[in-house]
Amino acid sequence: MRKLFFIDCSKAAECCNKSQYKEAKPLDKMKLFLHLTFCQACRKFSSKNSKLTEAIKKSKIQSCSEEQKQAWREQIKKEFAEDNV
Amino acid sequence: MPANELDPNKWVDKYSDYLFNYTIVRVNDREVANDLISETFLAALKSAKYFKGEASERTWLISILKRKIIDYYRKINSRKGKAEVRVNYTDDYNEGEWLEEQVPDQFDRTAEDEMENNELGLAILECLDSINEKHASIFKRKTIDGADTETICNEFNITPSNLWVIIHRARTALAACLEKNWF
Repeated sequence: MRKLFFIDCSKAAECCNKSQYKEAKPLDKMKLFLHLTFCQACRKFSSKNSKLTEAIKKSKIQSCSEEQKQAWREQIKKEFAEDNV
Repeated sequence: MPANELDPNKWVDKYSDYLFNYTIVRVNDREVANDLISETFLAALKSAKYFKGEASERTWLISILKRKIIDYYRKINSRKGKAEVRVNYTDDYNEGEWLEEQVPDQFDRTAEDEMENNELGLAILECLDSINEKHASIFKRKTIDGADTETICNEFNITPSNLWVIIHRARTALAACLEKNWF
């Protein structure tokens, strides 16, 4: 019975991380909430974690395409080689 | 020996996302941004011998990029002919007064918010720079590109539980770094 509902901090952290990406299973989420009710450390972690997710969302970071990066890499390699002849 | 040295072969991996996010809010066009960054890399290689090592590589690249962005705006401005200031003086209430046509204020609150959020983005990327390189790229794929767990696992040849451990470390390090530098 205990094993069914109670999880340790590392499991709780894992579930917390997964839920930042909406990948936590409903049952695991429930276990996480239960864990959070009595674990202050995990509550703190969880709130920081959500804050980070929020910040990333707000910042609207984009990454450039891998093709573009590859083109730059080649460009630099070529120029760099020429400069060092 | 200078405090900072240049390592051009690592520029793309280390700084391209940073440079891109810096540029995109300023020119608002992916293609233009990419071109400006290409020019920046080329200019940086050409003037690498003048790099004194006083600033960090990234700061130095950004200073070149800034000039490129300014040049870009100069160019499109001169293409249009000089910037025009239109005046009208036949307003019913202010007849005879030369009023500049009302220009929408570009620096209203939303623009400021946008800028601040962009700076937050740059702070996040800066923090990502300081953590394990592989962890950072896995974290980026997952969080910024929003790639599937399965896709990333295949790309990096890791198991899902590896992935979640890496994500956990990256998030913890990132949160600590942001706490120190931003919040």
